[in-house]
Amino acid sequence: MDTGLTYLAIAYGGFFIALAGYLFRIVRRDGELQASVDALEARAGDNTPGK
Amino acid sequence: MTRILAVILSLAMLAAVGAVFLHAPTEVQMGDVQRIFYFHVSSALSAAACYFLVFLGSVLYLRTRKDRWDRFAGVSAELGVLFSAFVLFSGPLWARPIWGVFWRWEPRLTTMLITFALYVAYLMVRSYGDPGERTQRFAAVVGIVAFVNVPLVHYSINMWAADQQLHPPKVELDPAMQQTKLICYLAFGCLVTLLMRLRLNQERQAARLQALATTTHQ
Repeated sequence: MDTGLTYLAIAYGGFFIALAGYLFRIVRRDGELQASVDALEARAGDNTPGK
Repeated sequence: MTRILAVILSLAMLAAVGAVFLHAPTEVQMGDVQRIFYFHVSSALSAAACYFLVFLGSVLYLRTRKDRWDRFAGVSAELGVLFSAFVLFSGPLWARPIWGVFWRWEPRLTTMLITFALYVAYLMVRSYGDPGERTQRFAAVVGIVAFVNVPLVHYSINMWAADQQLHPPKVELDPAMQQTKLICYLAFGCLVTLLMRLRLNQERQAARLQALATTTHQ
């Protein structure tokens, strides 16, 4: 395979892998935020008078 | 809105990749590796735009002391570092077959690396500083000072002697290459807008959650 094509493939492959990684990080952070909301709601439920 | 943006971005990225590999002609001297140019330059432009937004957010934060401007600057810096990292990754891959080396300490590469390091430092200030106004203020000052380096990257080609340069001062492009470049700019514009939107929403939610958690604890 031509060296130039190899570098081209690495560059574009790297770009899309980095982008996918960043999007994965955003999704994971969304999950963490949701877990915090759930925990807060559960705590609020425990503190409700009458419980 | 985010979904519409995601659809537009997907189409724009498909068009960009299609244009890079199918529409743009192969450069006569460099061959196929020159196709790195389209995403390399678009990333550099996106990084510069993001760094300008850091500057803007920092100035507005210092003027208004509103947290949203601090978050805006932080998210912009994160994206700027992401795009700069790609520039510093793809540049050497393009340089190796053309210049014979991955890296040369020539003005544009060096100023780009310094800019990248400055914004990494900016993100570290934000991450490791105590949460609160003092860190936000300090980060805003770093965000403003760091921006001084951004025009330096652009003008480094004219500011240093020609015999020290490897980047060409002006690039003449074939019309099809020009069109491809513009399609890539558009795709990267969509990408920056979508990522900014996603991260800003997330940071806003995190701030609200933090405030709520503090209230619940009291």
